[in-house]
Amino acid sequence: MIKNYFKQAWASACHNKVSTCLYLSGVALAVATVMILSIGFHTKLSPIYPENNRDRMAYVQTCWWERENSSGNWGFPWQMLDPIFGNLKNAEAVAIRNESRQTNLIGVEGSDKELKLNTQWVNDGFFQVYTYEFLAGSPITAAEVASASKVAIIDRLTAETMFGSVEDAIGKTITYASTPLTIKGVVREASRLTPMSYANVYIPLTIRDDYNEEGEAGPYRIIILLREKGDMESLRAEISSRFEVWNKTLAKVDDLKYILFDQPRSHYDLTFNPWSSPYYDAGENGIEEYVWIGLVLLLVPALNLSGLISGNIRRRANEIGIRKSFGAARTRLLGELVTENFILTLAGSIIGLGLAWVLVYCFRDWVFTISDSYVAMYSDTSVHFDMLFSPVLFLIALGAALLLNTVSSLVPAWHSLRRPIVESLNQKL
Amino acid sequence: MALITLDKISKLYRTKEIETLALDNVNLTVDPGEFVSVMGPSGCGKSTLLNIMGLLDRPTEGTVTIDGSKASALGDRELARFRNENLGFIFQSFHLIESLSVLDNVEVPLIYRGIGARQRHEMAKEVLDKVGLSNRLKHHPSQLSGGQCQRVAIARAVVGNPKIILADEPTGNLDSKIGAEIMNLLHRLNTDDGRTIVMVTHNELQAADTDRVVRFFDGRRTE
Repeated sequence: MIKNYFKQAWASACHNKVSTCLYLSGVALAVATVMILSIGFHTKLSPIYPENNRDRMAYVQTCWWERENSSGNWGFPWQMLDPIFGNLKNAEAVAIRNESRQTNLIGVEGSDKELKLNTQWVNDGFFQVYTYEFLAGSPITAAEVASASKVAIIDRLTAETMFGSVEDAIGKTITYASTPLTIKGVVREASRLTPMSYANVYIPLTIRDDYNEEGEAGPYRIIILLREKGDMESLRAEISSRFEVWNKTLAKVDDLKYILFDQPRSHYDLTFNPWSSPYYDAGENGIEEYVWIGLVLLLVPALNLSGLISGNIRRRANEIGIRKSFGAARTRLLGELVTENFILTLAGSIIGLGLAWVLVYCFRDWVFTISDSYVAMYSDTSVHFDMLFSPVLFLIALGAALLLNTVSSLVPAWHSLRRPIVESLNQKL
Repeated sequence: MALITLDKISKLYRTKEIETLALDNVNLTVDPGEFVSVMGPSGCGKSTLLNIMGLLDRPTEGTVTIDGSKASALGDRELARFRNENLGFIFQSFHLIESLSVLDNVEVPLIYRGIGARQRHEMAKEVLDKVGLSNRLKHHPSQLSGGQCQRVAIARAVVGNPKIILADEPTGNLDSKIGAEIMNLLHRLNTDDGRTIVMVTHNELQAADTDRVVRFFDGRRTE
């Protein structure tokens, strides 16, 4: 029976080429729209290399401070790092990165070769929170951070560009601002779509001359890897109590007060509401807003599809009459019509998936930065396969298309099938 | 015992503005193996009668009994199955499915009977061979002449071996020579295979060649 359905769908598709093309385009467009939106959100929210632990990450990005007559915010100062974030009970690891990330000229010692590369100053916990794949060598250690060892981790592309291969890079020396750094590890490159972890060169944060500069705030952003997903509230309480102690300590010598606000925040919160603050309401930009945008974008192809399916079924009234004359029951014909649409939808969905990939790849600099100016600051956007393909996302998009299709096809099909056979047979095209 | 019995059949078509009585208290019986012609002027209710007899339409009043089964007692599925097993239709305008090949068109009744692909192909090829179209299996209806299309329609009507063939002006769209060939085919189906045939026609000569002629005027049977 299924073979017959396929055969019939193929015959019908070939017979009505223009209509089939329009139908496939409509479905492909709808699925591509859903997929592009989904890929965007997948990249922002799902576990993506090397941010595979996003569901256990807690961010403490901003250090708000106020005095009687002034206030401000930035990252955390060096002197607060250990008292607030050292040895947290609820943390498996704590990543510290210097926000002063920038592109720097990195040279190869003994050569004129210099590359403008994205550089991050990080601690050893950075390589525990983020799951970098080491293609050669090993991560920066706590001892190396403590002793400001002149070492560096580079990514594969940098290694290949500078030294020809990953293996050849280990033990070689690169220079940053005339400081020689020995390469002790090479990692698979991150994409700039994972901005917290993206860089070409990772250097111990203590190498910078100004690493322990004192001030109300500082350049350090904190990413904590929770022991368990549900530990966020416990961590928040733990950090909050340390803030209180810190404020009491400070209050004895100054009127300076630090505010934790709603930190630490989850990856979801950080993605959709990055600028929340105790001082102003930036609004709640949850995923719901984007879902509505997606639904509106889907509505146009949905209406077109519905009209097209209705027209197709009306045009096939005569065929429906013939089939009923020769023994097809209404339910059987309904099954045939819905299956035909299902097959076309499936084909359209696969085309849509391909179209979405092509569009995302070709226009990645635009697609991924529509609502996110942060990632646009640095070099080219590399797109990994695991960002583009998530079976779950494809099934969701396919499910949405099938739902759309079924609703669009069922009503006109059932309406047509309820007509008397004689009326269907006499339908003029 | 009659194979087809129409008892006090009336058919009233209603629109918002007008009511039309297409059939008025019609009684008719057809015996097994009979070849009956239905004649009358256009609009007298011949095709309506054939549609009701073929269970393609329901009468406003009266009962249709075919081979002992009362049509009014059958639901959609049973009606579909009954049509599939007992009735074969030949229409004036052929009513072939344009998107399907000749072979696929003839297979349509067999698909709904649940017959497997291989057996379907064999049965359809055999009957297409009988109507002289074994060399047109992969053609589509648009690639055939009117006479060939009607042969395909006849093949489709008989492929499931129904007891009854209902033909609505089967030669109406054909020239006289091709029409004669089609009539020959129908007569062979009647005499050789013993099928019961009810045929609507305007052609007195063709009607005269059948076992019995039933005449209609203004929805009433006159003869």
